[in-house]
Amino acid sequence: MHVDLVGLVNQLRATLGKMEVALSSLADAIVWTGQDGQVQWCNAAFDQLVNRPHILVLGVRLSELLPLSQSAQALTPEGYPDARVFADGYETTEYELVHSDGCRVLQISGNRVESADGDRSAVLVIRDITQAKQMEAECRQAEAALRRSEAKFRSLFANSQMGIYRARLDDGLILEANQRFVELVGYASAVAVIGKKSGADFYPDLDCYRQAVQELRRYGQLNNFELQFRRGDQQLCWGLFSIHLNLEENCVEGIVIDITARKQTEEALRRSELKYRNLFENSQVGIGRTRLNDGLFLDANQRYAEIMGFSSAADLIGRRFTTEFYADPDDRWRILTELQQYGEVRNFEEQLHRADGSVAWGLLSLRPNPEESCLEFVITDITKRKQAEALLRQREQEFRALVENAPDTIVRFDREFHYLYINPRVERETGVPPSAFIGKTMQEMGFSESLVCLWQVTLERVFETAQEEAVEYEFPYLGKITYQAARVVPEFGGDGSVESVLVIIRDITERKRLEAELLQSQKFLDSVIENIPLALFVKDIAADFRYVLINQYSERVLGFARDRAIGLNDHDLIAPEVADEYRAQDLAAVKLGTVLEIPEQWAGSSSDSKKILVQTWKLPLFDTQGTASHLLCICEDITERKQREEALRLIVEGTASKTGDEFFRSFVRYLAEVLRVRYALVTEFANQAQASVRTLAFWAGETLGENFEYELHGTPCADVFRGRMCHYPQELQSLFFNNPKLAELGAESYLGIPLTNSSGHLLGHLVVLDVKPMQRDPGRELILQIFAVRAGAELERKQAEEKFTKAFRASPSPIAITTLAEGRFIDVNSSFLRMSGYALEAVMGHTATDLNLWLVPEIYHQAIQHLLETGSLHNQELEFRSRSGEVRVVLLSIELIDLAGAQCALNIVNDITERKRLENELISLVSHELRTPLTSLLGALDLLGAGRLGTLTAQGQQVLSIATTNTERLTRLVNDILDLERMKSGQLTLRPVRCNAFDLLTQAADAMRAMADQAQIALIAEPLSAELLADPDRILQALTNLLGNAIKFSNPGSTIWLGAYIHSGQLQIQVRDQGRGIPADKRQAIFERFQQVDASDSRNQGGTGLGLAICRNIIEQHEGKIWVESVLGQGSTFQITLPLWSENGAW
Amino acid sequence: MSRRVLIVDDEEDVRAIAKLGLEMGANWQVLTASSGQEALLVAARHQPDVILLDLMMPDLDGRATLQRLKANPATQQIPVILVTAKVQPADQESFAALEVAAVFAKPFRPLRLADQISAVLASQEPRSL
Repeated sequence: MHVDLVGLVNQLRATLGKMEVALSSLADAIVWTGQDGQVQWCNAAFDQLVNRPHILVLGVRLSELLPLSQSAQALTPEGYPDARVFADGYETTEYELVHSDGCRVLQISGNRVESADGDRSAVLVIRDITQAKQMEAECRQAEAALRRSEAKFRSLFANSQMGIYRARLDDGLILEANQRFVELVGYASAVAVIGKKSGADFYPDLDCYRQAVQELRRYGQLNNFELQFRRGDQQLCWGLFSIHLNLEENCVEGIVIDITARKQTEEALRRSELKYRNLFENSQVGIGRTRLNDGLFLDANQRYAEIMGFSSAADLIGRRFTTEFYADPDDRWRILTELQQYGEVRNFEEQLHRADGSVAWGLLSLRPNPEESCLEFVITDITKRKQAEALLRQREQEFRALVENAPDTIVRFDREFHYLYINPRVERETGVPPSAFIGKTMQEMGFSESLVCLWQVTLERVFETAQEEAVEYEFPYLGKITYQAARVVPEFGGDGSVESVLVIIRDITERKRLEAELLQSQKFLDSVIENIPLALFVKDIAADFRYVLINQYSERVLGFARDRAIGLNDHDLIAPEVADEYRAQDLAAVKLGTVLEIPEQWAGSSSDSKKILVQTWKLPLFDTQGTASHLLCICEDITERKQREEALRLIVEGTASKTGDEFFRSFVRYLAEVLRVRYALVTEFANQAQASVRTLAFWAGETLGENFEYELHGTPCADVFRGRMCHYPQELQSLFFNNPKLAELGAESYLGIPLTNSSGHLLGHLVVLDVKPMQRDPGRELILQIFAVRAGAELERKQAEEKFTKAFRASPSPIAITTLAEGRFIDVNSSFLRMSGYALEAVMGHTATDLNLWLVPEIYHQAIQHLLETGSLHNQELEFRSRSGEVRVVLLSIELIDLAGAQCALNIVNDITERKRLENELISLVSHELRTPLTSLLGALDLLGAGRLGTLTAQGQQVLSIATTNTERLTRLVNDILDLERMKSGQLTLRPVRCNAFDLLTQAADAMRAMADQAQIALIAEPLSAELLADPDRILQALTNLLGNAIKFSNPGSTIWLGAYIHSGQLQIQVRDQGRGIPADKRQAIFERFQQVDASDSRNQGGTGLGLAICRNIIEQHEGKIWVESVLGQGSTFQITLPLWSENGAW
Repeated sequence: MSRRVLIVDDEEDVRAIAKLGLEMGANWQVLTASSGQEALLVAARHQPDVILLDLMMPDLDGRATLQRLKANPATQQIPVILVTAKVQPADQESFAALEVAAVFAKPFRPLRLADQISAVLASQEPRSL
């Protein structure tokens, strides 16, 4: 039992605990009070409500914990719910609790609990209903508002000016409708409408209706939908519908406004607009509208588009056309201004830009429309008209220009001979402007009476006959007479009669003048032909070569009188065989078609004594059709000329092959023969004083006479030596009576002429004498003059030859003349004999090879070859062997000379054996004697500079440095001199090997790079691979020398190039710098010894002045060339050419 | 390595400079001879390590002196260096036929002479082994 009790108590406790937990988790506050009103128990919700800790709640009176009120009246303690629970049966009541965060409404229910021991307690359950209370109040307010609103809507519904209706969704049955709707749909009362179906019957336009229904279903509403409907009285009306879909109630709610009247107006408008648009679209004129302010195209018809070159109006609309619309951009503003000014329709002819850029003419009718702020216009294409107009205008202008600029005066006369028109040409002719003529007659214009008369007659005739006429007349005006030719042309009126006459006048003064001149020149020509000292005659080819013209001179040649020859031919006039010959010539000339020359033939009369020698030219003359119509024959009498030529030929032939004394002997003989005189002689001055002469040859009549010498004084020859030809035709001895020679010869007449050399100096003279008088004869004088020239030349040659011979004989240099062909000695001088050790006889006719004169004959043969190629040879060094075997070094120079027509070599030898020996000695001397002290000097300076012999002061160092630099320079100079001398003397011979230019150039550049770097100069080497046969050391010496020079004469920062290329089968090496350049006059000289551009260079640049001479020697030894090209201030380029390697190896 | 050098030159200044250079530059012992004859004597007596021989001398010139040196068993093993102003290729070719260790060109740098001689002797020595 006891155990059961304990178990029971435990069970109870557990149950109590559970209950307590359940009570404390309730949202409603639960409180247990005793009769004293004090709290005995409460749950957690109560603690929260009173906002106190649990411990401070128990034992406190409820009224103290909860300050309750009802209808804003605080409760008395008796009024508290717990008290009332004890007092009587209590009902759930609502109270107000003033709480810290506002007033709250509490619903409190209570029960009385009586325990087993008789204690009574009140149990209160308190629920906070504040929120529920608020919601209730809001609900009430909403309901009231709803009620108010509904009333308002209902009123609106009933009294609205819009038809409002509700219809069932499925079948359109009208559920509700207001009065306006009823009226709208054409019924008397709402009763008649409600229950009707507003379906397809109601809306005649079914498509539109279906669309509306579709939209409505899709969007749930429909706004401002225009729809036609059928009224009760079957009338069709337009309504503007706004419908809302109410799916909840399965209906639609709609508003409808009657827009029938508006629709009708619109329709009327539409029709009218269509009409206009038709008109607009199909008009044959272009119509359009543009916005006024910016030219935006608002409208245009098809025609407009076509005119403007667009395919359709759509292309135009929306585009802006302002100034670019017009060909002249200023037009738009001009037009707008004009329109603004007049404000009405105006027409403009305008050039407009079409779509393709071409220009069209349009007639624009424009009207500004200020209301719509646009410009309305109509356009007509007038391009064709404009083109036609322009063409017409152009034609007109052309014709006008033609008439006005015509070289003729053009005049129009009316029937009364008034000037109707005259072109500006008249002003040039008369100085009177054309306007002054119009309306006047010639008489009124003051033309001469005869002219007026001529014109009156002419004009009258043309008016009468209606035939064109031409007149020529003199036109005296202002004291000057000109000639005019006029064409007078009738001009016909509409009735076919001559209405006016056109006169075209041309000034023919010039033509007249030319005609006159022609006549003059014809006369002149006739005179020339008549008087010319040539036979000139013309034969008519067609008329069997009959003479048509024969000049006076011809009579001598033809041998008959011309008067009787005209109209006859040769066969009528001369012997038949001669006539046949002439005819043959005539025909040949005609056939030839150009001049036929018959160099010489005998002509003249049949008697031999009058026969003359003529040269004849026969030339066919052609008519305008190109047919040979006449034959012009010209004959020159060459009888005398032939005689002279014959004489000259004789003398030239007689003396041509002769020179010297022989020439002069032949010469005087032929001269005497040709001139048909007894004596002829030629002289030269006998001495320096030129007071006497000696004869070179004397023709003494039958034979050559002894040469003699005589004083000029007192002879006719003295005059000749004053420089002119002298002629004494007769009585010579009486003029020079005390001259025994003249007496001895029996001379009667004299003709003498001086002889001069080519530079005009007197050398001697030429004389012919005769024993009979000698009349003046130009032919003879001419012959003498010609002969004097010939004789003078020969005399000059003879004297020069003598001079040369003397020089040749006396020359200290050995000279030998050899034939070029075989090398045989023709002549040698005594110096040559001395050197060679041979006697003259041993040399003459032999060759150098015969005598074994040259140590290396090949060199001599090469020299001769060189001579033949270049024309000269200078200072070729050779070794010459004398008869005794002694070898001498000689320089040989050869000139080509012509001796009696044979090519010969003039060999001039210069013995340099001694000089060579001295040179070699000098080289040796310099080499040793200069270098030895230099060695000591340099060594001593080196030791001093090394500081081992005591420290030097700064100045001491400076002096030492100067001494070292100059000693080094001296060493270089000595080396260079030695190099050069060795090269020149041939001691320095090349060791040519096959080598590559690439290596040489690279090595040269590498060697000089340090020097270039120090001078801050860029050295660029562009070597080229090419095989050479060269002495590499020497070529390197030359290249480094050139590079060194380039570096010395370049400024810091500049560049030097070393490059090479192949040119004309040779290697060409270039050393180019940007230095100061070399003046043109120094470009040759710098390659000579001790030649520098500036004398101070050798000191400033530390050069020896020998570098380039050495370079040249090296390059020339390689059969190459060296030269320089330079531009002052821009730089120099040294060019070297070297032969490339070839298989045969030779240079 | 200290050496003993015989300088043969008819020019007293050249001898003095070369001597100074070798003594100062390398502290070598330097013998001198002013002629070919003297050189033959000095060389035989003092057995220098090397002989610097001038080519152009009066009487017995460099070539003749060289011939005698090489002909004498007492001196034939001594290396001879020619010192000459004849430095042209043609000359140098003729030197090739001579029994010389090297050819030095005049003018020379006295202080470098020792180094140059050492270089020549160094190249000679392996051959003598």
